[in-house]
Amino acid sequence: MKRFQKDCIGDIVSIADLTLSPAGGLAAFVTHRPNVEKDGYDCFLHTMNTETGEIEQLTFTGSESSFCFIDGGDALLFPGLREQKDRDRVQNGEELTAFYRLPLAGGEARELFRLPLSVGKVCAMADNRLLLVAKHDLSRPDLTGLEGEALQKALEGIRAERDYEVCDERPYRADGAGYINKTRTRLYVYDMASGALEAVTEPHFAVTAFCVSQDGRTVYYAGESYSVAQTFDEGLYAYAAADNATHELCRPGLQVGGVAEAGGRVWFTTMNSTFDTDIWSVPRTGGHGTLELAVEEDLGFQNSGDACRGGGTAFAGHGDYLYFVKSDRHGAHLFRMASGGAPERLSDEHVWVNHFAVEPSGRVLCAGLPAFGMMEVFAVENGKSAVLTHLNDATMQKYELVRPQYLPFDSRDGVDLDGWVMLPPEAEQGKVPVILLIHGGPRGQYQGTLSFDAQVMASGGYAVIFCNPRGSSSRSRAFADINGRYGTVDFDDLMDFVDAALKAYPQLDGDRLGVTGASYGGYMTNWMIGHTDRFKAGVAQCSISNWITMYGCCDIPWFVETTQGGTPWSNYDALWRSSPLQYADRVKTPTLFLQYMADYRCPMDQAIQMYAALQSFGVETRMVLFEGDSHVMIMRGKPSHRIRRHTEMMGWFDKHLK
Amino acid sequence: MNPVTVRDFEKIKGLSELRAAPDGRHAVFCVTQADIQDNCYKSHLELLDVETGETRPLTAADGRGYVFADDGKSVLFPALRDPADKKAVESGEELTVFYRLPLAGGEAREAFRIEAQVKKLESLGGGKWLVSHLCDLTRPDLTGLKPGKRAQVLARWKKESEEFHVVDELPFWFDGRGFVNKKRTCLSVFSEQTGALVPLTTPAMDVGAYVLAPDKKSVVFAGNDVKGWRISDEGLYSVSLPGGETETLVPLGGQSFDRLVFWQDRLVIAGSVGGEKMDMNSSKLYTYNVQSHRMELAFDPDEDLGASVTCEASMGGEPMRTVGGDILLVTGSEYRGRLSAWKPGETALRRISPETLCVLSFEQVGSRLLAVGFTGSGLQEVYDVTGGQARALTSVNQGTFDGVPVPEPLSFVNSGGVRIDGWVLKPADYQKGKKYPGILSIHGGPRGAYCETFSHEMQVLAARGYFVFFCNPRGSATRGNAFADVAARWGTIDYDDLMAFTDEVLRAYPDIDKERLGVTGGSYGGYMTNWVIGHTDRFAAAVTCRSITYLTGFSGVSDLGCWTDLHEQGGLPWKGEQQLRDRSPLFALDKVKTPTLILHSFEDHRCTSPEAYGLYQALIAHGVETRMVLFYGESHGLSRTGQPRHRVRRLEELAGWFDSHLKS
Repeated sequence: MKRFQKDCIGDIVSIADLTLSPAGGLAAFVTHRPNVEKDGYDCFLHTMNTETGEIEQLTFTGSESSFCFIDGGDALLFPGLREQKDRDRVQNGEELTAFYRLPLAGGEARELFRLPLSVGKVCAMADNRLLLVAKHDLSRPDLTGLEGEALQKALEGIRAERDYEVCDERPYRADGAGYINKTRTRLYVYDMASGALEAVTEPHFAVTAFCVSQDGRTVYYAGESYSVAQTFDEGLYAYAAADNATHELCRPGLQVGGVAEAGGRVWFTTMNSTFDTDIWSVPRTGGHGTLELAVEEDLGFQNSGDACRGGGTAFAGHGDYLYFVKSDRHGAHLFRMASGGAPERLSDEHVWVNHFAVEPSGRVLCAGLPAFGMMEVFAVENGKSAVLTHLNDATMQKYELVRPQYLPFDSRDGVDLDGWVMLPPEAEQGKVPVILLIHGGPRGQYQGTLSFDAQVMASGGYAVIFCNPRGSSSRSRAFADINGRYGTVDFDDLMDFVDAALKAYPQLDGDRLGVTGASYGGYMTNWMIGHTDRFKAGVAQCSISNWITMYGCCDIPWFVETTQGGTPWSNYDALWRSSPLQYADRVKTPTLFLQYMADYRCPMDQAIQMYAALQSFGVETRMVLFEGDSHVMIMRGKPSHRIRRHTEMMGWFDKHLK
Repeated sequence: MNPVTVRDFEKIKGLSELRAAPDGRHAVFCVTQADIQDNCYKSHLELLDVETGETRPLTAADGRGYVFADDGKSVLFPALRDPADKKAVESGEELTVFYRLPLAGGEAREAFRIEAQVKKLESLGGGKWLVSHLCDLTRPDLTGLKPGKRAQVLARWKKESEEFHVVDELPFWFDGRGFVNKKRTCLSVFSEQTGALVPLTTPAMDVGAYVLAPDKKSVVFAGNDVKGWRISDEGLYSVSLPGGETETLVPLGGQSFDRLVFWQDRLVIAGSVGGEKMDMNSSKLYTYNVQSHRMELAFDPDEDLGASVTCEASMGGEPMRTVGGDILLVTGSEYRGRLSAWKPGETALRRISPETLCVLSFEQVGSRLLAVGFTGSGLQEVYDVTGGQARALTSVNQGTFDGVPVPEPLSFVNSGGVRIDGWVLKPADYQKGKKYPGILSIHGGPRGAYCETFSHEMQVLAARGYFVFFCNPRGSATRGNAFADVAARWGTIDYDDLMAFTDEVLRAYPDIDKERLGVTGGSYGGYMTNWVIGHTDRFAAAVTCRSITYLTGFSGVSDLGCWTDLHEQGGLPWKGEQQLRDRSPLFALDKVKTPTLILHSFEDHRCTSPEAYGLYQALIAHGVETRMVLFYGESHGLSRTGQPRHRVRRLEELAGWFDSHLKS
């Protein structure tokens, strides 16, 4: 058994888009796996026998990640561009997606049809129809009817335009999606029999959430139409495919995260600017929304880790019930509820649920993590969870992994908090250096699950400690709310945790403490080095240093306004008070900055300002800027970039803590 | 006369590298022009007979960076004419190939090649050359590697340096050059016979200005081998040739040695030496005795070194050189570049070029003194300025824009009793009594300056029916240090002068419709445009280019670094932060009514793109009509040296914005 090192990320297999076949007895999903050699990700389609858990891999190119069942379950359909000449056409400026049919009885995938659209996702509907999720570019000239020289000229214009980004809306860019000015997520319905294509939404409408009704005939969706600034005053709509008719159901007036249909009602979630979530329902025919659940904790798989890539359905209707994933301080669980009723927890502590698919029998297949392990598919029935697949068993046997030990502790003002300590094998021989990990969010959350990031650190001989300070998710709204108080109770809780860990584990060397985190965790790293000298090394990842420029450059400026208490005009003092840059003149801790050049959440200038400040005070510092990476590089970045991140981070800690 | 169009900048020729041929009768100069179709700049060399004024082309293409060969009969210039050489450089090889072109006739052929990215060559005689070249300290050592392995190691290093930018110095990037962390300008000696390149300076040393001693036995250079925060620190060093020890003449400190020339037995330095604080004042002149190490302040001309005025296709040139018994220098005075003579001991500059000529560069050719410059509202030519005249020798730009309107001077005395110079350019189709929209144009710097020379951008606007008015407010160049000093006062007296000027223009030209005024500027001019829209509603449209919005953010990210903040803005984020807040346009943007177009380059490392994003977000959040156009692959110099197609797009956006907001 060897230790899990940075170049072992190729062994991490995630399961995504778990979907049931309408024929029953079979499910399909996509595996995501970093391919270190080709420096990309392999995404393969698999089917799974829902009784035995037996798996069969269907595709091998590594490029397919969206799919649906068609022909009553006889085949899978997936969008893509398998031919080089089609990829060249898109490179040339055209919009094109081909759709391939993969028969489950045998045989390779063959192209079924193609459309002049950029389709990212396809969902099955009834009556031989498909729901297509496309990216619509309002700034593109209309190419319909153009041929020959006229078409070539128009395409040349489209290519020439790539030298510029024209921005006249907000948002004009989004982390992970690049510059999105004048683009919208747009829904279409395609009739496979007739070849008819209907746009569900109009060009200026931005779809934020949607689902297909249980009978497959209606699309329920939420979003808003805007032309200058997105307001988040969203509406909820129903589109009947057979009639090509839309009607408004209600006006949630907030950001809608998920839409589902159950018990004759359309269910949806709303989220306010501080990330509090409510679940509502409205009759299928429209009317007033009923508040079904004001979620105290957080919906979805709230787990700050790197073992689950891709995701899937975590909010869906089946029969009369809404099924959803909700996290609490101990894990992510599967729930169901009927309108007017209370949520009923279905899963037990053996699975942290990432996403699911509900079987006709009521048994639910869940893709998720065990208490300490890698993703598998579990069957949840009668309150019990049983693992079905064994995709990652070999990897679990292959490596000497360190299990986090639960360390609850009390903050200085008596709040009970959760923490964990991982001891490397070296701790048996003597004192070991320590790395404090701080999760992002701040409305994020650690659980004691398997995180490869932490394993790499432990493999390097470090104790790794992490906790959920105030501001973290899945406890209560009040617990999560540190708006206007960044750098106060959160900082205190983290320092109290460090003291608790040092006290409980004498093997932890308090003179060799390092600190790191990403996003809000990077913010807190920058904050810490300006407020304490206890850490001998810091690594600030995609961090925040100046809330004034965050407001100006972040893709979600409302986040800054809400969490810091205003804008540069309404509350400059609050934004500046909580900006780590202000305290850069006190820093002694040698600090490494890792920042991603296509990160539009915590943009590049955040690290550069702090780096330049530390240089001017003669503090030992280094910064590495990663070309092309976005904020979620740790999960989406090329393997070589992820490995380089580890090299830099561990190199810095080794230099200063060993 | 055809109206000036957006694409017409293609017709403008820039003249540079004017050098006397050894025969004292001819000079060689470089002509550069934009080519929109091929989206690049094309240069070639011309040979000028200074007696007759005849010119003939030497190279068909290339020529920039040329030197005269030892024999005096040919020129050597760097080029990549062989596709194999181009490919090698693209794959990461350091290579500069020099071609020899005989002045008498015949095409160029390869003379020699140097395995380095050469910046400048200077002859040491006997087939030896003093070479300044770019070095990358992170480059792997490839000596002794077989070709296959070499290519592999090089490719891997190149890929890695393109994907991960390791930063541990300041500045780590530089506008127009990209990432410069661990990159250095080095000095070496190249031997044509052996092909060897022998280093003179240590790898850590980043060389700035340098000068070869008259006996060619040593080189004196300014440099910095520490980096860190000490961006503007320099030391002065001497190294003996062929390859000796480096002697420290003046240790590294808060000083700058901008130009170095030898005059008689002394070194004459233009810069700022000996003071602890860097200021923005113009270079002073010092004499330095290399033997005794004695540094003395010789003279403070109180004038910027170099022409310092905004003009078309300005290619720069050495502003200070020893010619005969004098030092000749180009300085900025009263919105002109003036050529003067001076020598140590004198306390005044002797003007030797006439007031009518704006000098950009100069060269002594035999008994004649030549200069590249322009007169009035014209474009560049080579002039004979012998004896204080200004006689055009060339006509490369003549007649190109005949018949365009000429800026009319409008100077006034501001409320502080200071004269402010300005100009008004009338619309091309101006008819008295008709009303026209007007645009205030603000130069950068702030220590830049306008004069009445042909400005393509302004002529495009005039051709479209706008008045364009522009001035040199306090802070501008060519009026001395006291006038130029707006440190810690951006957005105060400079703003006042610009508004007072606008008032004067409206009074003098009642045909300008004050309800249809626009404002535009780049860099500091963009800062000021951002300031203007937050402090007055009198402008109905604004176009802000490569601007500054928030001084704290700007100084942390700009290649000018924290130094700019301390000295120019009077505050730092940890000390005097209120000052930075008060002088930042950002905090007045909640009051803006003016529809504003924002133009910015993604790779502008001077005024970085967060300045544009912050401005854009502020305007949208407050319901102001705005549009932002960001340019890939462009730096701070987009409007002057950017890709021609991008310059076209920039002008179309700028003029288009004014058209849609200022025309009824």
